[in-house]
Amino acid sequence: MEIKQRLMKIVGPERVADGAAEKHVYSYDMTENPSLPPSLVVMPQTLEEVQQIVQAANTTKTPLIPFVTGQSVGGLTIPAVEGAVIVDLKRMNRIIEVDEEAMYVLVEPGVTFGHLKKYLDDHHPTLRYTYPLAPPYTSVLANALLEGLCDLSTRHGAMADFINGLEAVLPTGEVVRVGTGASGEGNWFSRYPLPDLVGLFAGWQGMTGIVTKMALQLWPKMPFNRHVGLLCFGEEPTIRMLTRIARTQVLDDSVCVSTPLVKMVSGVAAPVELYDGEPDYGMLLTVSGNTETEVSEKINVIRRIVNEERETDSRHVLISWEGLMKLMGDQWGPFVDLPSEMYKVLAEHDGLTWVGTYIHPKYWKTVLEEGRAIVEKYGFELIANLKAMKGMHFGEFKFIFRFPKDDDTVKRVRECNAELLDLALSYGAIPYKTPVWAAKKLQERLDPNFVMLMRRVQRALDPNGIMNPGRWGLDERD
Amino acid sequence: MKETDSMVNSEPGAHIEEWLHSCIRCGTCKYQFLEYEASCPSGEHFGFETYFASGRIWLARGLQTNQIQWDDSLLQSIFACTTCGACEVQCHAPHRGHIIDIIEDLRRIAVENVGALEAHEKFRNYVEEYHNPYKAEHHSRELVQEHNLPETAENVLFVGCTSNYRETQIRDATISVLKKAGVDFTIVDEFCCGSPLLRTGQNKSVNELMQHNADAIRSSGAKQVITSCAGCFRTLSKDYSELGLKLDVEFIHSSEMFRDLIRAGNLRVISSASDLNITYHDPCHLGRHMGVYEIPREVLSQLPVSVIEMKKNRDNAWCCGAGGGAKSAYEEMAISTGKARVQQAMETGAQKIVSACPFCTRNLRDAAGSDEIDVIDLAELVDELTVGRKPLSQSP
Amino acid sequence: MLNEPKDLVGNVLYILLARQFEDDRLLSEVKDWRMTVVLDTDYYPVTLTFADGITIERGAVPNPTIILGTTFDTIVSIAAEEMSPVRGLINRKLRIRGLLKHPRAAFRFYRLIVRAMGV
Repeated sequence: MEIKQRLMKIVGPERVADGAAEKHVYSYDMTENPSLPPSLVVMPQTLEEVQQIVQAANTTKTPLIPFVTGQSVGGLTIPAVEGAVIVDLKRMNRIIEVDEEAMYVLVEPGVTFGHLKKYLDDHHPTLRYTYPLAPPYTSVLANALLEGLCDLSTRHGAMADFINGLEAVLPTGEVVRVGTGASGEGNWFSRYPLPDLVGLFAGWQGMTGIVTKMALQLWPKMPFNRHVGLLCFGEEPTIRMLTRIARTQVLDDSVCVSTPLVKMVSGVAAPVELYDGEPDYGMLLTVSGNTETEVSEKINVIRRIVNEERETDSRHVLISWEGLMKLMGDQWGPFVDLPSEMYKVLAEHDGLTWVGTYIHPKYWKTVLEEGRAIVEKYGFELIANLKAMKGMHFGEFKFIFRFPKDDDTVKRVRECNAELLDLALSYGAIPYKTPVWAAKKLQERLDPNFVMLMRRVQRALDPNGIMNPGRWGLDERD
Repeated sequence: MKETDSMVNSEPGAHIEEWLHSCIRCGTCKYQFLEYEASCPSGEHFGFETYFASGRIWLARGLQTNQIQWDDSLLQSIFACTTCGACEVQCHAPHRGHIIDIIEDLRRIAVENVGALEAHEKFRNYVEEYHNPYKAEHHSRELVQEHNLPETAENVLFVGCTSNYRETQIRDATISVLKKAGVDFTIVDEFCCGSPLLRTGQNKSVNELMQHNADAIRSSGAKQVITSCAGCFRTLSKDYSELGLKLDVEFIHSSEMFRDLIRAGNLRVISSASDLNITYHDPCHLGRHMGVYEIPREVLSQLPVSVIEMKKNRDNAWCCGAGGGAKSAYEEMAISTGKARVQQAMETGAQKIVSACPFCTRNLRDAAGSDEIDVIDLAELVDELTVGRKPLSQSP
Repeated sequence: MLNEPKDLVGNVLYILLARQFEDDRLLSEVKDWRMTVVLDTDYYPVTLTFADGITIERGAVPNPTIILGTTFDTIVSIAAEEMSPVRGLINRKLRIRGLLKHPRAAFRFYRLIVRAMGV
């Protein structure tokens, strides 16, 4: 029996599609990564259906690509091989459990940031999750698996750090649970002290199974919150201030962007340039506390550092949230409620991409300076985005491009991204949400034994190589 | 047709070309912004990316740039959409006001390349032969005799095919209201306005229909055209204008006429207390497409009924499921979409759903089936709950 | 009436003034003004040309009617109501040139900008 018939038997014919429309639409994402059509798309609704799909694929050695809500990047849901089946998980969208005591939520893949925020606000108003600068309908689970950023990253790290445990269907069809949830229902309080097998799935880009449930840490919604803006000049002072402030541990989060992005949010129309005399960067810093005094003191800590820097350059300016809203527009308001709402400024064309990397703090400033020169050389809008990560244990940086997907621009974007990645790798930065082309460049710089270990783990879990084959550049069967 | 009428039928693909590089598939079109409720009937029904606005835009781009070739398997995602326009309300990208233009453009190109869907072709043939999509015997002029209407009048009642041949109670109620309010009106030899053809990519016959209707309206000497059909209202006032028709008349939806007649005292509301709870369904063609949300509510506010809003209302109203050719070609989607709307109405506790579009009324009633909720048109409710102005001799 | 400049300081002025011009009376009053004001900040100067509306441009035109010298930090302090405009003038954080020659223009602009800052 052909795979299509098997899948139709599992989920019903109406949830299997192999028309030219589906093959086309699922063969792209918003980035510049090359397209390759799948052979068909299947849309399961239950764990049992996912399990049967994986078993069928394992029997027929059919490649499977997990896909959720469609805002994919890095070519991560574009098949890297012919004949792949895309498993569209958007209909598995239940918020299964919120544990108020242990502060976690158990979700299925189709739950989006918008839905989760609304649900928590309505039903568990004392708790919050963490939200990225991504469209509001992006999968919470996928973003955690892909180790992306969020608005608590400066305090807690990447989204994968919020994972308490998960349920997955292995490539060979078994359903497994990792984290304390493996000991029974309603017990997803931690990923430790068992061996941390979350690492078998987080960061693997769907190569080790299909994750069907995930328990994620929630945090108390603090009674007092405040945001301040900071306009600053030059890469060195900017990074120095961000680093100093982050190391004080007063921040919940920090977003540092180049001024063109500040102006985009304020309503300046595309294309947005950086002019002489303008600050180079703008930061949005978030603090919270149990009392107003606690919050005010945290702001004072920030102010002291900025004032010290102002002795060298008085143009660095700290702006209260009220002042920022007054001077730069009310559209900044939603940013602090749900960063996703600001994503619209990036939705200018049909293309959007970046090479996002995590980097040692000592190289942050240099990479920013040199990366900026590369972006300027290619003539793109300068949209740098930086974040102090996990109390300043490391930094994040990326240059974002919003671009029309005509052939010439796509070619330029590819060249620019490749150059930026080479730069980042030369300073030991590690890309996240890594496209195949970038993973191959990365592999050249990684310890061969690390790559060997990745291959060994992947083959142990997926002997027939059916799960998202080719990702991380692990396609050669040597 | 007057020589001054210039029929401008933009080249198929013009909208697609204009917005070729504008959608990153951020997915904002899929849900009601900030409420995170589903907004796309087609996407909710089918689930695949190809059935949301962003998928269709990417499909349009693929076809326009020859990344894919035409074949029949493309048609369902192109046509299984009610073109309700909810995606345009949610979208934040530069093309947000043009998604339906892009989809209708895609449909025109589809018809040129692989032909119309069978169901759509069928009603096009009926329109061409019978002047209505229902294969009903054309009879609008008989209404003039039946109701003793003048040859010329200040107002034309453009009945619309669904009212005239299927939901005739809406036609009769509208005529009744206009007569008892003493409105000077007539009915012309109207042909289908062309809405079903425009919505399904079959634009070629529309100019002829428009020409006929324009001539008929002109010959009536009317200054104003009233219609109780939201689809006709959109087509007559918006599409005809975009197609280049210059007709020196004002087009209004009957709800506006009802409101003004009640305000002016030409219609008197029956004053007896009523415990009727109703909910109002915003037709897509009247609401999102034409921006008329409050006028029908103003009418209802003057009637002895309690109006309970559905959670999804005004520009976030859930579609009835019938529009864009979905009722004829994708009945299952149309009914499941309608059932969702009926369910939303029932959650309000209302006894009746009141709409202002015969096509919505029809599909919502089909969807409601044996559910304990009635579906009626605003014209019926107004007719039921008003009387005409008392003759002067009877005034106190 | 008001162009949308693409630089940061110009855009700040645009945002401040656009809110005020929702008031039709103010709008028609300002339309009649004829003057040029340079806001000379420590970031860069911006010129506001009043002539049937306001044009905001990066840079300083020669011989403006009024020059208002300040820092962006002062603008922020006033917007955040940490400093009053009067205090700014007294402390020389705000410096107006052309006041004696064009007192009416200076007063008009001062009044407009104070209103726009909501202080």
